[in-house]
Amino acid sequence: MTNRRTVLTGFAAAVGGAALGRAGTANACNSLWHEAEHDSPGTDSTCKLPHSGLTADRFPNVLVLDQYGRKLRFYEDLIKHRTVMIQFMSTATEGDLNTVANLVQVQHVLGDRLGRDFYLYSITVDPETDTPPVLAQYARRHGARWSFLTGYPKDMQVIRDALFFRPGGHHGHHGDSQDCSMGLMRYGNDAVGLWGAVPTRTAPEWIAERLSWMQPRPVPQGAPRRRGPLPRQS
Amino acid sequence: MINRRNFLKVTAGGAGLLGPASAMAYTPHDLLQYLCPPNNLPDQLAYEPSPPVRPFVTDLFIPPILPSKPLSQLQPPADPRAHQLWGQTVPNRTPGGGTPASWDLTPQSAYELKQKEFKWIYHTDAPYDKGTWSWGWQGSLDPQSYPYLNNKNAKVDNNNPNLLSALAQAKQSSSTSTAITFPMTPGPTIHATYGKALLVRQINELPPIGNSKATFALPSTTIHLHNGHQASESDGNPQDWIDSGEFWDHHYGLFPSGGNSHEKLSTLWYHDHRLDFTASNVYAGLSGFFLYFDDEDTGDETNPAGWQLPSGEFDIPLIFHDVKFDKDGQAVFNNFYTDGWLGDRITINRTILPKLTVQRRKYRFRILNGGPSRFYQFGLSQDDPINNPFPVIIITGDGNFLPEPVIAKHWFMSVAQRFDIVIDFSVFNDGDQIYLWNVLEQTNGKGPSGRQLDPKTDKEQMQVMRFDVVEMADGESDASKVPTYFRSLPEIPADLSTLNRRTWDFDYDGGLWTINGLVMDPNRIDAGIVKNSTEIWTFRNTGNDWSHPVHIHFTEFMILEINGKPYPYHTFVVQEAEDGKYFYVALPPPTRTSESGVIAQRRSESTSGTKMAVQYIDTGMQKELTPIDLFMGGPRRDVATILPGDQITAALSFMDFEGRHVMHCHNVVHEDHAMMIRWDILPEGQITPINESVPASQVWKAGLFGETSTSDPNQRPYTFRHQESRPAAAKDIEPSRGSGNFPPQAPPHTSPNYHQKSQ
Repeated sequence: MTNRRTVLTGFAAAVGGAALGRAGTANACNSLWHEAEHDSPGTDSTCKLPHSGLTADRFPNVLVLDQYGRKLRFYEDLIKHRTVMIQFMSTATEGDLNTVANLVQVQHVLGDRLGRDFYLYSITVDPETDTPPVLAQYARRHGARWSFLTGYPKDMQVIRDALFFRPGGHHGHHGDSQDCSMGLMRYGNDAVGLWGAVPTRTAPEWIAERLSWMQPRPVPQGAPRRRGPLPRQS
Repeated sequence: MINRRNFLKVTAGGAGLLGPASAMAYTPHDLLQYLCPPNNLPDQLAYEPSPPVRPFVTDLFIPPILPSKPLSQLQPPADPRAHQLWGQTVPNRTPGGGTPASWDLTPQSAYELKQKEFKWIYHTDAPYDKGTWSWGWQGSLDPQSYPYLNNKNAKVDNNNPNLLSALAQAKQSSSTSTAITFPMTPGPTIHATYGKALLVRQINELPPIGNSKATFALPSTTIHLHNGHQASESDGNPQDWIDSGEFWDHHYGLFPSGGNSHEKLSTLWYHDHRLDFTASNVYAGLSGFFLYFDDEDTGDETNPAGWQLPSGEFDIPLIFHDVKFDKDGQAVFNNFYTDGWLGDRITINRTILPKLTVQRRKYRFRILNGGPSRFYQFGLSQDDPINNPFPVIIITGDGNFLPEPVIAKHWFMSVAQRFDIVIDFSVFNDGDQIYLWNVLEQTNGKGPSGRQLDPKTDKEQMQVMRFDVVEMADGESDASKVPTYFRSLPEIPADLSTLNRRTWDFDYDGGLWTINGLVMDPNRIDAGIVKNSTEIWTFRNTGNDWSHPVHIHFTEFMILEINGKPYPYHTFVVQEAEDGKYFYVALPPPTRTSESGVIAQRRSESTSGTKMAVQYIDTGMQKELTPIDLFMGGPRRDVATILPGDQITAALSFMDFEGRHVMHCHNVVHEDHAMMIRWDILPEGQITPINESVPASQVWKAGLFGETSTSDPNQRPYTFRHQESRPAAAKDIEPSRGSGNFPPQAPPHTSPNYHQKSQ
């Protein structure tokens, strides 16, 4: 990449209009989650969320739990109008895959903007083992301050399906029990409707830069500016 | 199944998520299923289908030719210091000599290509008639000279809705110019000529993110000239992007690789190549044709000094993109589908199921599979492409002319492959309707299913375009011809044993598409190649149910082997020439001995290995000739299609320029999920090639070829754990179907004595 020193300064004032805070907004859908007898509320199509973001239809609004045991709606509380990174893990295999070390570096790069302007979600593929206390302990051990999510297995499966985190007929090198697309991280901004993907082990600065690509920008004024190629030094 | 209400009660406190009760509800088999489920996501095509259309009622859109402007009109002017070989000459190194004596790389003219967002009408039926938010380029045409308007033969006049809409708007405006200007996809076609170097300025006038309507795409672009032999800084490298309000200058030298005329190219295309977003941006509309002409393929069928191939209005490019639409007619793209994205509407030049009125004469169609993920096998027929195909004359494979035309019933196109074909409609009657069929089934983004569609049951999805044949206009005649011989292929060195070899395994791991276990890192060089050298590369597909169209930038390659066997040249064999170098000479297969006298004569003359007087195929006999069943590409290509388990070995030469380039899967969804490597051409003084992955900062001075300081791996607070050594030769390694190289990453950093580029 041509000298991209703008990595951090390029995060425009950013996330304009983002609905920050996940305070449980009361809406008509709330009752459904609690009363319905069906197994996967996220697949229920009768409940249309008010004020959905541009990519609302890509995400199930199932209930999940973070490592503190807080109940959150996957789309409405965690993704809607936000710039996020989503990655899958399990405490049992993370030791082998060793992606958390890189994500901790991403956390360093983003500083206190992580959790305010940008959000990182590590979602377990092993909810049987990875209960909130297990995830909390795991996060503490690695110094991870972002959200680790678990939940009802069927709901977690719905999330994984929607995000295409699955072998999908591929046979990974670690066998079906481990290869759960955990080398990949989705990033995107629901406020502008754009999603991309990056290998989880990509250099932390590059991961951070990708978040800057997702931020709204003003319409440029004046004549177009030269970006390149630049003259070679003689 | 546990009761949901109970579950929520249990979890409400945030204590154990699943108590013993729930554990009992699951068998070990269930657990495995959700840990790594089988294919349980509904197939993408099971989504709500695109709104229906009436087939073959909308006229094909044919992009107009973009007019050039003097270089001096560019404001601000281009900077020659930014471009390799600007203003220099490359001597003609064609074996046996040739003209011109040298190629001058000083740009003679310029093009400004302005990227725009606009509403494009894919079809005249609702809801498509309201327009689909798309990306493309500003183009212009003069209704008086655009050959598909006010034509001598009024029947071929074009009523494409985008054209009509632009004409109507021009009428309302007070502009005095006769030319009308409007944004289009595909972008305007560019005609270039060998020996006349060009400067193309790409200007990003797309609305910035947050303002653009095609929200699935990133309004940040880097436009690659696919198959062009241009320097790194002009190539449209994935990391050379421009954001809204910025421009980038591309210098195209319009000279053949190495100065060898046998390396000349013909049908190229330009498209976006943005890191992580190539699939979405091209899907939004950023693709167009870039055609090279020369003193043989002159673009003038009446010029007897050239080959006289069908030209002008009878030379029509066709780009295929499959697109999915929502109920409002807007394009749908979900790049979560890591396997690839299929559209259920086949569009040609961004027209759904078009029709084209053709006159009873020869046409040249330049057919391009523009992706993102679908493969095609095409055949031409009035009723049944399987049992009653009408053979076509194929004259190019990817960007280059075949030594001699190939007559084929069907042709197979992976993503980005290009074939120019000639169809002589004079054998049909006025009023005949001939269909272009796709007989290949594909049910997911990974590649073809292996099954052929059945015209009896799948006719609706197989017919993709209709040609309506009409008489030629009074007084017109067909001056075009199809030579029996074009130009011989470039030589490859006689002794391959001394060449550097590399093997590339295309695989899948951890949710990512990998090459030798690696995923794209723009700051890492995975192959360093000495300038002006030839190497042998082997591409292997280690999967058994996916396919990869592998594209190498910058240079075409000569196929040596497919799956361990010498390339099955239908009409070509290897002979040893006197100068000690191998080259391919056209020889007919024995099975074609009973064909027409025309072919037999061509055969006897072509064995001499020398260029013969131009002879022409009697295309009126197209029907009677014995065609081959399936054409999958010529011996020289820029896309190596590796179907499941395939292995292709090819020779590539890296001439004239230095700098960084890429190789990637041209299923662009795979590319965006990191199936791409960076390779660099090193200065000629470099003693040995680099056969391992190294940080770019160890090879180049910072800033020369995109090295960042922030991402300098040596500065990172952690180290890589894994090592991976590059195989030195293909024979040294076994096919890997699980080497445990996860996660994909670079080897530790060695400190080779790569000398910095001397300035």
